[in-house]
Amino acid sequence: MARALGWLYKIEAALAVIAYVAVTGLLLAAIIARELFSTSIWGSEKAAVFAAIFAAFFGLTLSTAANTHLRPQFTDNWWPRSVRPVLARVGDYLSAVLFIIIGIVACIYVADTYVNEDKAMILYWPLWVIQIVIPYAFFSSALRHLVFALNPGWKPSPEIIE
Amino acid sequence: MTALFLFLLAFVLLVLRQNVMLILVICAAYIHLFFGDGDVTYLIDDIWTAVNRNALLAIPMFILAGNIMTRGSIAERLIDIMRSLTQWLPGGLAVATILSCAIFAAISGSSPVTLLAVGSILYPALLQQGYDKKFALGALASGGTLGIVIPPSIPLIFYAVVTENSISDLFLAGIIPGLMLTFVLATYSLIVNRHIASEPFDTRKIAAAFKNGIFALMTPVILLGGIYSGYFSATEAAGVAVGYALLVEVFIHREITAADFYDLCVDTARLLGTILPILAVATSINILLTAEQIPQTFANWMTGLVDNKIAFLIMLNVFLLVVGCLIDIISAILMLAPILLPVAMAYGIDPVHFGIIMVVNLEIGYITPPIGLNLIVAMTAFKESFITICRAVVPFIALMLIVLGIVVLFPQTSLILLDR
Repeated sequence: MARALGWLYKIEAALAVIAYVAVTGLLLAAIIARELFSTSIWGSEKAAVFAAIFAAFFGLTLSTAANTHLRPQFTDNWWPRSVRPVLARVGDYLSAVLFIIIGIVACIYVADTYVNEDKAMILYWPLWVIQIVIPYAFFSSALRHLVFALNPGWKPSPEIIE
Repeated sequence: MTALFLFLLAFVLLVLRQNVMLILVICAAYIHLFFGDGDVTYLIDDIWTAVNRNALLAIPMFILAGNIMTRGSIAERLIDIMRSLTQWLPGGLAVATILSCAIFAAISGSSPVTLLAVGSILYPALLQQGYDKKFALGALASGGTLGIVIPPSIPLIFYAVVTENSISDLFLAGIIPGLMLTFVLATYSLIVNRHIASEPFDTRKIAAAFKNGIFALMTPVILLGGIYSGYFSATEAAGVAVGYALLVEVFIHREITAADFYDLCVDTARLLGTILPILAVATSINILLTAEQIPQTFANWMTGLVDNKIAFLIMLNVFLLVVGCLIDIISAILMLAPILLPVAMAYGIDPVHFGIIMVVNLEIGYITPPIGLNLIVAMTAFKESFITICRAVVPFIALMLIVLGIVVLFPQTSLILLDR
């Protein structure tokens, strides 16, 4: 299981990196095309926005996997030391349930977009193809919390990131 | 009763160790269910609307550019330039500390990273040259905050996105307050350290330092020059920032490998993964509040209660300073800017000027207890007690408050470059 999660992390990280490379490339290409060749690249900025959305939602799952989400910790000390590990597991179970619920709501939303055949502005791509990353990120985060709840040893120590 | 349950729900989730994003999502869902149209899918629709914006591209790109630029030895290069420029002044190293912090923080976009990068080099140097330890701690902790208002500023981008203002205008508005803060802190550093011996002016040393660090120093110049000469938009400037940072660090400084770049992208994605969902949910809540005309009602109530603009500004600044002591700058901007802006506008305050007021107030929050991030980082990095660091920053806080007062009372400090 740990190996599978490790691979999942690597795949999501690789996709986030590809997305950022795409964002940078698209933005620079648009400027070069405009300033040097007096032309424009059709839909480049919109495509960059979609790539950034992919990176952001993969970032959400990577952040869950690395336990770097912002969490107010001042209430942790309200409980006796012996209860805290149990509470941490309960917290992870609850997080998993909440992410699954939001994931289901996101699925309903994306299904509506699919049924209505909504298209992205400028590019006219089917929107559901891009929006599918939203429920995916929620379900992937739910899976991580579930695994942390079942096996607390696999949960990384919280980091402070700025 | 329904509102009471909302607070209770947030409290229970907090006690059950849920992260900020989940707490906000669940509270937003509750608000949609009981105060909105009763349809939770609108929450996802709002999240989609919030992230599907061109302006949002600037945030990950500027963060990535800052990460790339700060991975190598840029701090050392900038410090060399500032040291060589100021060594002829009595107390020159103190001035170099403030200037290095200001420029490095503007490039990196992170206050604690600045404190660590500049502090690891200059703190031992300051002590070695006989500077007071308390001064050195205060200068580094407060100097690290200077880049927050100097463009390209990440908090100003967040403010622009959440209040739908122009990023370019906010960048321009931040220049004078940022320079004022830097000037005041540098002057104070010069005055209190005037007894420390100086070194002769050395043009060869200056030339060598510039040759080594000019590319890093040019980052803000290229970005702002490109934006205001019309070559690219603020969003495109973020892409240019990444391209330029890669060019400098891979081909000129030769300090970034492909593996490093991969790690930096993953770090950026993780950081954005914590911030953007919060932005998205905060936007959803704000859309609902706006639809229910709550900010406008609050503005009307406030103007009915306090009809004097100066009294309002005093209340606003005290409130923001307290908020800055308790909440981090991004969360404070996301949650409060959309609610406070209509109130400020009701008193005739320009939205761009209000953004600068907000960011300067919250900038001070980095060095105010109980959870000023720079205080905690300085305590860990320099192995000093929390009280020692808190005492060390007191004169710097006082000076920053004076500058804040000037920025608040004289909107021209922010708006003159915008011709408003």
